[in-house]
Amino acid sequence: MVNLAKTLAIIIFLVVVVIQLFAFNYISLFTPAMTQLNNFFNTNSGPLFKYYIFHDKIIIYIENNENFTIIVYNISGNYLYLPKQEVIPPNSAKNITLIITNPDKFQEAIKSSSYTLTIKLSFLDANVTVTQVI
Amino acid sequence: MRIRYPLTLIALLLNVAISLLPGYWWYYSIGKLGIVESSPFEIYVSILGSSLLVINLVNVFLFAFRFYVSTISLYYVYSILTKGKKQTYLTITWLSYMYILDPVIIYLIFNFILASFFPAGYHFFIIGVENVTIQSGNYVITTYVQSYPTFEYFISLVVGSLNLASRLLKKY
Repeated sequence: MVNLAKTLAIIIFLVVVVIQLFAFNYISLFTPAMTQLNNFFNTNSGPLFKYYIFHDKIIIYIENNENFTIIVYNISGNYLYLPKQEVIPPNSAKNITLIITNPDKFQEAIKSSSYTLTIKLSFLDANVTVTQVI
Repeated sequence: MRIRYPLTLIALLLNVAISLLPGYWWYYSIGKLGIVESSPFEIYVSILGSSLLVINLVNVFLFAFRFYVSTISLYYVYSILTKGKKQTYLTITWLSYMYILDPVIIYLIFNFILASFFPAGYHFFIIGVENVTIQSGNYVITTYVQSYPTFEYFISLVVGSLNLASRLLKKY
């Protein structure tokens, strides 16, 4: 025997799906949804770093392409320091100046090509530590 | 006229109420990097601060599922009132009891599937907060994993239990 309750329920289920997809045009979400998924897997977003090294300071250009704020807590390495913590608002870029305490020793260290910079960031309640060799 | 099977009637009508109630049953998050709010009738997922659009398409079917559950419940109410024939419906019971498995599934995904790509892991828990550290290349990410049921989940557990009781108590 056919279960009348379940048959009725399946018909109503399908009607509600069709109404949403076509009358409320949810079907048009399909393309943007797929594009968004593609972008998640393909683009290598995340903050972009560029370094400009001068005699007594380093300017780091940080580009934040995300729609959340990034806080730079600390950048540390031999012979340099970050004077204060920096906040980079969503979809913006900022130049951050690092002070070099001992220019001669710093030049020596950087020429040895194993100079390590430790960057401490925070975004979306996560603390991220990045070590970069420059 | 005396109404037969009052407990079953109440349980079935509460099925309709819980299936039409908007909102979520459970909240998970990894820091604010990934947030999942879910119920059997509605899901919200946000990754790195932007909500996942494909979930809206899943929600089309979950929204229709609200009406599937309501229709069956109301039909059973109708058959009790007109034919005096008792029928019970345990979908909300199973859904509410099985929801406790979600934290288990997320723990397994995190600690065994993700951990095979990069070191990641946390201690098992069902409700609460745990710190987690993820290492990937020259990145170390420290954050927390949060898992909480909502008030609505406890309502659904009560409704599920009433439906189970209506199945077990033949006379009511």
